[in-house]
Amino acid sequence: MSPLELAVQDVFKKVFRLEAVPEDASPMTLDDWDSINHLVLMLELESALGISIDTEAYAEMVSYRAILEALHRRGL
Amino acid sequence: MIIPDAVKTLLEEVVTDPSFARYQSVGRALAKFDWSTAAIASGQQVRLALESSFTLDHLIPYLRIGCLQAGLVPTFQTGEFNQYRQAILQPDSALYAFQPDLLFLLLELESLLPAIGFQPLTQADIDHVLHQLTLLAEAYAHGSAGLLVIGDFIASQHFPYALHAPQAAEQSYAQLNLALAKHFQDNQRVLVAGLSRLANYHGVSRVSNPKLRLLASMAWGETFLPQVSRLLLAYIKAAQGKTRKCLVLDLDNTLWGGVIGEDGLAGIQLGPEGMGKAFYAFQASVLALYQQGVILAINSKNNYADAIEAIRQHPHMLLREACFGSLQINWDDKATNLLRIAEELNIGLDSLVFVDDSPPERLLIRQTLPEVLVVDLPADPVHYAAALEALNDFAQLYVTDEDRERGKMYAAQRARHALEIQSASLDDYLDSLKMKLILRPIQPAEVDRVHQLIQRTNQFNLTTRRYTRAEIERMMAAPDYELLTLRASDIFGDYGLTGTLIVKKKPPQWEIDSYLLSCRIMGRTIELEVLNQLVLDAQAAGVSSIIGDYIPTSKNKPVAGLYNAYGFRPKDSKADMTRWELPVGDFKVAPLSRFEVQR
Repeated sequence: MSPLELAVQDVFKKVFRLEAVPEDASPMTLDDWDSINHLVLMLELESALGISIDTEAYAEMVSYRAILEALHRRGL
Repeated sequence: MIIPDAVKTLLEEVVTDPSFARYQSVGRALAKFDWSTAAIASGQQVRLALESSFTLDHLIPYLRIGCLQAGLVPTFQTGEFNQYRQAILQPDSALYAFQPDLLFLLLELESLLPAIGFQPLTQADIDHVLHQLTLLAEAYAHGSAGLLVIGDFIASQHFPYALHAPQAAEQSYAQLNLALAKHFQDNQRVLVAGLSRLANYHGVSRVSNPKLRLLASMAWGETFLPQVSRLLLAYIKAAQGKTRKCLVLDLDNTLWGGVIGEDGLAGIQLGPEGMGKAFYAFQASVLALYQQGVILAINSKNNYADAIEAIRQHPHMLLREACFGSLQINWDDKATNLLRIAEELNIGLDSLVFVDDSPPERLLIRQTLPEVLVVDLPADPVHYAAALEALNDFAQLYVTDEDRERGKMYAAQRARHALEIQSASLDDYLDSLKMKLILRPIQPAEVDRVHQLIQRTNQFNLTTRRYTRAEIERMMAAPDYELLTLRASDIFGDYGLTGTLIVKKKPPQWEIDSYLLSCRIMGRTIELEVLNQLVLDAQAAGVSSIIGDYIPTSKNKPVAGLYNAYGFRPKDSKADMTRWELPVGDFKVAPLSRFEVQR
């Protein structure tokens, strides 16, 4: 697992209180991933990775996979 | 309140990691508990409603955690987005069905003045805002007995273009907030929360996170929400009687730098130079609390002589001996000392806040006396004053004259104690105090103090009925209620307003609804003389008997036998109370000659 994946998984574990992060994690599969917690997730990603995520991009981070892809595209 | 281990573990998480994400996830996990189970339900419930013109979801976890940390079990109701007018103006709204203890009304000015923009406010604008808020406050007072807390208004910032008048807009907001506070000053059901002051402290530019505002209509961002929560928790704790009464302080490296026993009077750091400045600033913060009515105590491992010399003689000591209600300076363990302080001052452990620079001492107290609030003092003394000022546990809804004089009373208390030790017997001691009692109907100016007594008195309280200010005023106006206040003094000084009697007249009987005395005057037979006076009043009014209830709590065992000792007889009892009766007609009142009573 890449350092990026580890970091993102740590964020997911903290925000959603998970022991392990399922590959298909999304608002469909995690009860606690509602609009309120989505903002918490974005803020914690920004804080943990030391980055800023564009306002528009907040809405595109619709699943664990989508988040990894978006961050890869940024060159992280 | 018995806290389940799972809850304790969750609350520990935010102590080790106070980040935004941690508070949110812990708050959410706590919300999932079944709070109706008996053990948790024995904790004090509080019903909190929030109405606002913007999204506040992320504030709830902070409030929930803060309540639980204070021993309160909260239930929340947040209004529908920007529907606060409907919620407050419609008598059958979900808000009123919820029966809140407190409603927080948190609005942005744009909601009341849609066209406001960046222009300074006019007087017409200010009047309009006050008018709208008055309507809401009146509607709320009709539909609910709870307290209304209105947040004041935070001015947004923009670059000043008219450089000769750069603060015109901010000044007009300050005028609005001042007018708002003044407008509700005498309204006992409404309080105005200083959000603008909080925003100034935090930095107005940091109040909002623009992404959150755009995406979720959040006026307040992730760094400001915890600050708001701390302020609102002050209101919640104060309204629910959770205000703490006493600050217990260590000496070495807490009130001064260094160790008095080793460094001596000339060696400790306290004053206008070097690190002494930090300790001096800390003492100034402590003094500010003392002047608002917080009791101070010392808990220090030292030779008494060394420590008391520093307290009495050090030129820069702001806190002199007379400031302290209790001085536990010895080589015993600090937990035992805290128990002694609580006993000496006649207050509960849950009234104490403990400040000590030593992490092992703090850990000891956290583990052995969990009801004591232990402050996590930062390692660097330069941050001590700020750590103390950040506490919301001493805040009261109102500060009375009694509060401001409280500190002096403890020096008098020590003088009384010296007399007591010298007296041949308890009776001799009580006689030599030459106590004077004033028992008379409540005056409007006394409502604050009586409300405080009703909310905070635990030991000498026969029925522990926690009336709100509104309920007290209703009883004052009702012809079948008599509310009496007791003032007491002796040769050492004035105890102030230290007792309340609420009598419900149900001819041919009188019922003692509430009978409370401040712990300051317990054990002086004053309680018997008050009953004497009540019986004399009843006889003059032709009443046949007086009924008194005793409702036991964990704290009022000292009065379990009061009515029996006076001469009441048991009338009946249920699982949670005993009812006593005194036939008044033939009863021979024997006024206690040690008192001079004024009616």
